[in-house]
Amino acid sequence: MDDDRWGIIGHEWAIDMVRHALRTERAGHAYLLCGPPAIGKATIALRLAQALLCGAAAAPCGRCRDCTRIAHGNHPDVRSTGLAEQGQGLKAEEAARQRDLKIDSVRGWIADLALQPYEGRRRVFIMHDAERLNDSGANALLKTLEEPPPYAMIILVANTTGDLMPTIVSRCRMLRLRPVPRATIDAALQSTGVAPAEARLLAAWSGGRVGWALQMRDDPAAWQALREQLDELIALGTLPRHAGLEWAEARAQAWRRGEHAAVTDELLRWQLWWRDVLLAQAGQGRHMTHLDRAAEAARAATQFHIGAVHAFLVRLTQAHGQLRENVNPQLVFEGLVLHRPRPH
Amino acid sequence: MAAQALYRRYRSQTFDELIGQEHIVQTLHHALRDGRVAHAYLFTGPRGVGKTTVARLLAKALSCTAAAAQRPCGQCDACRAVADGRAVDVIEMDAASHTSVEDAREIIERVQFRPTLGSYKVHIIDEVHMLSTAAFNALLKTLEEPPGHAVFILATTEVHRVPETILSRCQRFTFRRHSVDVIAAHLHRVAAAEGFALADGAAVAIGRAATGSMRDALSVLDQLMSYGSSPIALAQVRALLGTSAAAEVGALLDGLLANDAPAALAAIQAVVDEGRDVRQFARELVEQLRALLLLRAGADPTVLELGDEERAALQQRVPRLRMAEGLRWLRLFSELDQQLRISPHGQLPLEIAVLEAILAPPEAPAAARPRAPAEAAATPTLQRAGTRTAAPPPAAPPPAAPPAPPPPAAPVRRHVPVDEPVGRALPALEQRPSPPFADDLQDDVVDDAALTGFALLAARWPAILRDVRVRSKTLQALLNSGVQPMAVRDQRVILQVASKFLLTQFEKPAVRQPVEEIISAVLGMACTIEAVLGSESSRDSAAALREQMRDARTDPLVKAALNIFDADIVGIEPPPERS
Repeated sequence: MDDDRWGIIGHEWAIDMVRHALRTERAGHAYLLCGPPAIGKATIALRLAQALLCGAAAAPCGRCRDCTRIAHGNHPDVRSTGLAEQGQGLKAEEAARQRDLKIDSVRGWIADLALQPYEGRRRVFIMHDAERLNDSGANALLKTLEEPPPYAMIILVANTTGDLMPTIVSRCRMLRLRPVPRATIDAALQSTGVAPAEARLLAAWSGGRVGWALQMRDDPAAWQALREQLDELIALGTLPRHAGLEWAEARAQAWRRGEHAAVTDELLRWQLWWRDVLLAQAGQGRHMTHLDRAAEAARAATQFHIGAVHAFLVRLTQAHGQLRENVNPQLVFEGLVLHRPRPH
Repeated sequence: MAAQALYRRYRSQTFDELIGQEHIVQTLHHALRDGRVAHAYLFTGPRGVGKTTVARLLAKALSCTAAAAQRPCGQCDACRAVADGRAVDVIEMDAASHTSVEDAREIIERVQFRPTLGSYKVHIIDEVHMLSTAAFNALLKTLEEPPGHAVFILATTEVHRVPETILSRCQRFTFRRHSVDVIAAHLHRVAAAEGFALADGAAVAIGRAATGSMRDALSVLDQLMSYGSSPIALAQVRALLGTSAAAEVGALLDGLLANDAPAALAAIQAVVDEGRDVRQFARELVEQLRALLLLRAGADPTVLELGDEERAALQQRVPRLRMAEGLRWLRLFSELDQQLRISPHGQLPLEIAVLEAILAPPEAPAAARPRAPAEAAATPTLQRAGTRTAAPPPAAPPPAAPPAPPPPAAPVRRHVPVDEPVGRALPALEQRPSPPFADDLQDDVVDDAALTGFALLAARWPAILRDVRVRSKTLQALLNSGVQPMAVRDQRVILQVASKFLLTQFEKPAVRQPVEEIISAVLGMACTIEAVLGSESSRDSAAALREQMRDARTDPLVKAALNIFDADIVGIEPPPERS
């Protein structure tokens, strides 16, 4: 890791800030990294831990024993917790269904904080999924987070800050990571050998989520599946009602099976497609997500009334909220299908 | 080792150093001077206002060996021991991680022992709201009559979770938020002590983002200082907080005011491309809209905490804002925060809201329609009984535009570069029917103030009905049988009634007076009511509607839909024209 970006794409200001703080020995005792999923939060947390514990002059070197052990998650002075750690020992589907980060996980983690470093000068405590902390878990963290022992550095990683208690947020130095500009992802992908056209497309589809773009780059099958999913969603607009209802039923079943992430992603995809149509209607086509479908979006833009598109987008947003609030999924999806915008 | 955070290093060590909270400091000071220290205190208030700090100061003062007036001196051994957290007679407990009754019992046991050095033994119980019910109850007797040497200090941000029985046994002090000025001044002091300078406006920007919490402000300053260079510029503050420059918010405002959807969307995209925080941006938009509305309503510009430039920019936009529209926008955008929080695709909710603001509002006064998603979810609308279920979404404005592309010279808006084949300009934006709200405004019968009065009345009508019900059920029945608010003029509320009988009823003081009182209370101004007879036909039409509903219920399609959705028929509309 010879560059001064720590091998991270985007977020230059955040890296600069942390690097500078480390160099001048003014790093805080607690950091809160937050932002949308797959944007690079966990990677930054990992690099921060490496930078603290790495012995090399240009820390983190990424090569020494400390750095590699941290990357593999078996350094004794780096302790992480989160839903994944909490779910160890559970059955796979039970682990997937966990909702809260419980107080027991927090207590174990805090108890560990009292122990001096085993090897280096510092100990790093990383908590993933901090937005899932339940009420008692979050409260149990407060005093420790305010005044931890001098050798400890706490890093909270959260998808959003809104779900965290303000009393927690105010005790941390917050790095609010934002979606990475499209051009940056584009350039980064190209520099790893992705063809320019492909890179541009991936960058546009990613919506600023670097991790997502890299994942799709490495997994062409998933990428292909996504594109087919979009085809299906676009076709859904013209299918007869019974076919739409079948689609709704399939999604509802998937939701009940616990595949929440997949179903939400699909809804989001649909939402982004209609956003593209809306952008085409408003003459802002260059900001489209699905750049490869510009022609289709432009055609749809002439077929649908802008009010209808807007209303359907609102409905899709509401559907997200309804699913979160445990409304019967079948009704939600059928409602969506029955209210598809109709071409005029 | 890590540098200690600023908010820890600059924790006040004497009462003189403490910022703000004079009302509390003075009381405590007098209590200490006169030796009237209570046995239990409860400190409440939002985060970062000094609860833990004052608790420790009080503990220090109680063990301090200096003359009574100077306590805590901060110099003597006892004071230093408390500051270092090694005083044996000051026990600080984290109630949030020690919530159980066992922990409470331990306190009770230890309270009995006399202090080792001083004359007081102080128990600070922080985050006390997290104690379990059993733990609270176990503490009750001890808290009521502790031994003479014991002082309890409870601190919490959420006082509503502390049982009444605990509250009544404590002297309660409520800490206030710090004002932006106080925070800014303190930031300057701390920065100077650390050898840093703050550029113009930077301290105020931090202070504003901190919303009254000194710890938040110091955390931000800490981070900025660790970034290095002095003086700390406003741009750095913005980069860290993700706040947008006033110009970016202004661009979106201008787009809204000009009803220019492409420009507004471009403004949002610009913010995203800059890597700014969309949620913060939406909040600033709401702030600016509020300022704009207040200015429009004739508020004194000095009450708004605005810079000169900002105020000038706003003043120049004021004449273009229509009050009713501004209100609708404000309502629309202030509901956004929650959506932006959960939305995985940051800017989409904001874009939707902007389009909704610019497109014609689908229904009459925004206040009257249910907007919360939960409400929408709870009542599957089946308003179109008698037509197919798959009707176009109700929110869609009637497609007013002809499908033919408009002549190129017709649009008067400024030209926006279009880089994708669009086919036609935005019909709904070009020829949108003006919103009903605006119609009211244009015919000049009601001015802005009256209109907002009416919007308020319409929005609070259900609340009024509820309040009336508390007074008398007969009155409520009267209001429910065909009384509708119609307008607010000066201080007269005009109600439309459906029959002559109701008209005579409203002439009786026994009916009139309570209704007037309740409406005045809800609207917040003294007003009289005036009943006018509505068209007789409304009654007939109600009967006709009931007739239609009865017919609709026999329709097999409707019947099936009613069964599936467990729904009710709430209205009948003619089938929409298919274009």
